[in-house]
Amino acid sequence: MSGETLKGHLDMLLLAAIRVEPAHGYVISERLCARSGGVFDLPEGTIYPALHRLEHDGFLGSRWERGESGRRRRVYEVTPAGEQALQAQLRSWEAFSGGVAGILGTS
Amino acid sequence: VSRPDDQIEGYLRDLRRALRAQPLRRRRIVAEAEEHLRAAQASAVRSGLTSDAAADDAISRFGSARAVAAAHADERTSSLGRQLRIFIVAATAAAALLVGFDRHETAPAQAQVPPTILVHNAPHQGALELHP
Repeated sequence: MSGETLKGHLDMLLLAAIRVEPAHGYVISERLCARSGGVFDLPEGTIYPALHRLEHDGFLGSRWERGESGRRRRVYEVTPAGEQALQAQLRSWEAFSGGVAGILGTS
Repeated sequence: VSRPDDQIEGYLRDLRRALRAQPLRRRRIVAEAEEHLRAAQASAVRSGLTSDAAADDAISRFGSARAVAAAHADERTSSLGRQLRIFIVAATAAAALLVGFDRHETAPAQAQVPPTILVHNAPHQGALELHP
């Protein structure tokens, strides 16, 4: 799926992927790809601007950690405000997808 | 341990050059990119690729330095635009409140007249008075 198609939903997907467990960027992109069955295979470097924006807006927190390789890595976690935003987006998505499914006759 | 000038080092150099960001922000972006690429490379090596092939694969999946820098620039621009819009709305609201407060404080006699809507800057007519 193209990055443009994903763009409108990327915030929700990132918050949902990080909510599972705090993670650094590589693991987050792996989760997006794996949990979507390979459908969401966007250029991995493009998730970082979105992560930074979500952090700037208070929906994510982050901290540097030392990984197993000894390298420092930035680990992201969902804040309470991010959890609220995710719940709101999920409700909106369910209403939208339910409406589309109803029209298409796939519900 | 990485070689001093492997593909990932070269990529990070390109990314550093392509980024339009303050030094602190640039360092963070490049550090996260390096961590990501090294992790992806290690994973691909575990899957059986050679170190060089794994680095190429990691870079290819990450996106070109130019595209990644552009994505950061776009996000920054839209974020600043959003902040500017919020500031304008807040400033307009504050100004409207102040003007309303000032009118209320300095012209108490106006409160005695019937409700009137003043429309300023109407074309060719200065101020219009509309009596509901």
